[in-house]
Order: sequence, then C-alpha cells, then structure tokens
Amino acid sequence: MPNPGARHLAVAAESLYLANLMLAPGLAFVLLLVLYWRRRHSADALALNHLSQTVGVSLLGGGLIGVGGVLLALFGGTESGYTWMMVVLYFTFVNSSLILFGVIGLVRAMAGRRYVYPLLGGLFRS
Amino acid sequence: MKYSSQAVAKPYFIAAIGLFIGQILFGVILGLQYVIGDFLFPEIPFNVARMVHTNLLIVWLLFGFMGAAYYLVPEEAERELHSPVLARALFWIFLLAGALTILGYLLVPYARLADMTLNDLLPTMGREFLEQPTITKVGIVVVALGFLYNVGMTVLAGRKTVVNIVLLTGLVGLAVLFLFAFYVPDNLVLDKFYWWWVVHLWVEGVWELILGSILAFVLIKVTGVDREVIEKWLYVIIAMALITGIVGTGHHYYWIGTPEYWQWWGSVFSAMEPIPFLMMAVFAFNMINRRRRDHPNRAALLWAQGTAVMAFLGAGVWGFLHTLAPVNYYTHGTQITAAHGHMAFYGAYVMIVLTVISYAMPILRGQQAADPRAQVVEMWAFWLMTVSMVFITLFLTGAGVLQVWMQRYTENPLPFMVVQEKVAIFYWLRELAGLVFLIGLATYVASFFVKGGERAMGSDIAVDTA
Repeated sequence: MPNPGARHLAVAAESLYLANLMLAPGLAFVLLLVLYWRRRHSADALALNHLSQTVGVSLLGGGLIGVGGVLLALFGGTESGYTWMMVVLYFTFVNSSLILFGVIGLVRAMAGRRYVYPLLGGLFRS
Repeated sequence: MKYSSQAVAKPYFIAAIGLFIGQILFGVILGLQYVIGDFLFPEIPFNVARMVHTNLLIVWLLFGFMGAAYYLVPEEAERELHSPVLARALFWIFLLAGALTILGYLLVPYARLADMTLNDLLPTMGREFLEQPTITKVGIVVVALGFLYNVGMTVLAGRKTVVNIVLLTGLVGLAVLFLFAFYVPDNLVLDKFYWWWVVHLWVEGVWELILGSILAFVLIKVTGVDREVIEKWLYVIIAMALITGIVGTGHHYYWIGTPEYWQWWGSVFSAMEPIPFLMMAVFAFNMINRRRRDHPNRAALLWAQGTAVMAFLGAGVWGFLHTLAPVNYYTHGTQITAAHGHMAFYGAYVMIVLTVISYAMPILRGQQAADPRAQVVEMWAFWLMTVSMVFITLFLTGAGVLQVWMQRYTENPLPFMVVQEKVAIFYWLRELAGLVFLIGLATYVASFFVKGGERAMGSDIAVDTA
C-alpha cells in the first residue's frame, strides 16, 4: 500500500495534467513542471511515475497538437475551410483523447497504482 | 426483484424502447431529406419529420426516467411503491397522449392541429421542441403531478437516501421548469429568454441530477462500493452541475437581444460545464476500479462506463467547442450545434436510460442478468450505436466548420442553400452512419430475445482491476 503522501502527489500531478488540458492551459502546466522539479529526487516510485508520465505526455501531447495543427495549415493552406475543418477535428480528437487518458491516470493515482499513458507514455517510464 | 411494485417500470421501459425506434426511423428519414429534399414529400415534410424526431426523443426519455424512478425508488426507500395502480394508469394516459400527439403531427397540418386542440384559449404551440398542443402539455403536467405524488409519497414514507433525494429533486425541477412552456410572452426576446428555462435548464440542469442519481444507483448495485463513497461523489457532481449549468444558461442569450453582460456570464460559466461531466467520468471509472463485486451483468457496466465517457465528450467537449461568445458569434445555429446536440443527448440521456434498462430489465424478467449470449449481442449493439454516433458527430462537425467558414467567416459569404449543397457529402456520410445506428438499435432490440450461453455467477470477492 503506497503512503498517503505519495498518493496525494500522484493525484496532484494527474489533476494538474487535466487542468492544463481543460481549465488553465499553460498555468497548470507550469505548476506541474514546478512540482516535478521540486519533487523529482524526493518522490517515491508511485509519485515519480505519475509526475514523469504527466509532464512527459503534456509536453509530447502539446507538441502533437501544435505540430499537427501547423502541418495541416501548411499543407492545406489557411485560406481553405477544409483546412480549418481538419484542424478543428484533429485538435478535438487529440485533446479529448489526452483528457480521457488523464481520467484513467487520475483514477489509477487515486487507487495508489502506477500508470503508463497509452502510445505516448512508454517514452517516460520511471 | 425486491419489491413487486417495481414491476410497473417494465411497460415504461418497453414503451421507451418502442418510441426510441420511432425516433431513429424519423432520424433516418430526416437525414435523407437533407440531401433529397422532396423525399416523402408531401406525406412527411421536413419540418414535420424534425418535430417528430425531437418530440419522440423527449417523450421516450421521459418514459425512461419514469421507469427508472419506479424501479429504483422502492428499492432505495425499502418499501413498495405508494400506488402501483396510479403508475399503471398514468402510463396509459401518457402513452395515449403521446401517440395522439405524434399522429396529430403526421396526419393534420400543424395550423389545423392548433385549431382542433383549442390552442387559441391558451396559445403555447409553435415553439421548437415545445410544439405539443396545449392540451397535451396539460396532460404532461397532470401525468407529472401524479408521478411526483406517487414517487414522493414512496420516498417520504421510506428510507431517504441521497440517490432518492437527488432523483426526486431532479424530477421536481423537471416538472416545475416545464411550466414555463405555458408562458409565451408577446415580446420575442422574452419569449426566447424563458423558452430556454425549459430547454436549457432541463438538459444542462435538472436532468443532470436525474442522470447522476441513476448512474449512482446502478454503480452501487453492480460494483458493491460503499454507498457513502458514491453518495459523496454524487453531491459534488450535482453541485458542480447546478453551479455551472444555471448561470451557463447565458450561453443561449448572446445574440437574442438580451444585455451584453450575458456574453461574459455565459462564456465563463458554461466553459466550466464540462467539469461535472469530467467528474462523472472519474467517478464511474473510480467506482469500477474499486469494485467489490463481480456482477454478472457486464452489459450494464459497459453502458454505465459508456455513459460517463460519451456524456463528457458530447456535452462537455462538444459543448465547449462553441460555447465562448466570440466563437459562438460565428457558430451559432450551424451544424456544429447539431453535432453537439446529437452526441450530448446520446451520451448523457439515451445511454443512461439504456444503462438502467440493461440493469433492471433482466431482474424484471426474473433473472439476475441477461443470458451471456444476450449480453454479447447487447454489447455489439452498444458498440454499433456508440461508434456510429461518434461518426455522426464528426461528420456534422465537419459540415459545421465548413458552413461557418463559407457562410459566415469569409469576406464573400455564400448563401445558406449554396453552402448546404457544398457540404452535402457530409450529410450523405452522416446518413450512412445513421443507418449503422439503426442496425445497432435493431441489434439492441434483438438482444432481448436471445437466449443461451454459459452463465457466469455473480460474486462478492474482491477483484483486482489494475
């Protein structure tokens, strides 16, 4: 059974990850980075797992959204309605998927269990 | 089943499914009319098909809610229903009134229907979703009062649980807010203002209480998690739903002639409306993760999980997509709204009714859970309907974004009908997805008649889902 402190830290990491995707983009990510930076050496395995997963997937997910959007705009041209249709659908799909993965991450953190995000999380195993 | 009076729920569920089939058939007709304008004209004009499609949705969901209440209230209150006879009588009244109204839409021109039903005495007809003749509306109020009396007396005389109280609060809210369907001011702005008190405060207010309580009830039953834990979640979720949803009504007031401050209030509060749906998803998955019972009804569990996810996507994500005033300035009333409406209604309310039917119907038919083979068919139906609804939503979103661009955003906007022709491919694709949905619904109905398979026994052993 993980200690309550580790579980709280894991829950905080997952909550900030979700807040970054929904409520306070950017601000929540900065707070998540600060949390990771300050606790990366002292956190136990569970908390470190959630901290590194959320920071890593936030960075990669943000990149995926940004790069994908720019590529679509470059190839489709910003003066085409079809480009914007693709951008909106792409953004909504990636953002929603990241949120739903985050929901599972938060549930796992609350249960005191480790979690590796599908597709992206494998790069950030701790 | 614990109490024999719970059996009154069964006809409500059957009627709900029957009307659901009608709704989808008219949906498929409507979808085709988007691309073949005179399909079935003049027998079923577009405006009539649309009215039947949306009205059937509302009526069958109400049947579903009432069935759910008649099933779960006695069990939660630990006593028989106050009056099963009244429940049965109200069922037939509601069904007859609903059927006559739909037949009226289909067989008589709307203006003549208004004359025939003495709309002049108290004019309430002609408003979207509230097209019902005044006499039908009066009937709905009578049924609602009788229903609330019956359920309320059961709750008052029995054990008062959070699930029952939240459900009753939602149902009372539903009935009270419907009274605004009778208030039709001459001023068009005021008319729209109060019209939303029925439409918005139902689906983004009190119906969420009904949704939350039904979901909590099913999760208590199938997961075996302590009631106290589930009840605490329910309190927080409904508080957030009301805090965000009530002032969030403002997102309908942006461009209808109301003061400008609604653009701020509406944007800020409705931007927070996804939060209770996100919490509902966390809640459902958390309870399933902590479950202490391996319930044999796997289909009900799947519907419950599906409700949480699809409600978040449809009501939360697709709602947020066009809720901020500067965005809504362009998207208002486009196919993006239709995309949101389809997935939100399916995810939040269709799926929760199918969840409770999936859980309760086998018990009402004398089983703990449906036969395994029937459950497999039901789960096929789940995936067929859910995936096709995702595609319906995506195609409508695609059509909506293009519509916004071509009709509203560019320097040389195109006329509405020109744009409709340009996005016709999306309507064809939506129709295809609609047909798959219809196949899913047929599969769902078929699952009630399938028997056999090796029966898994329920157990209370702790299961490790990690």
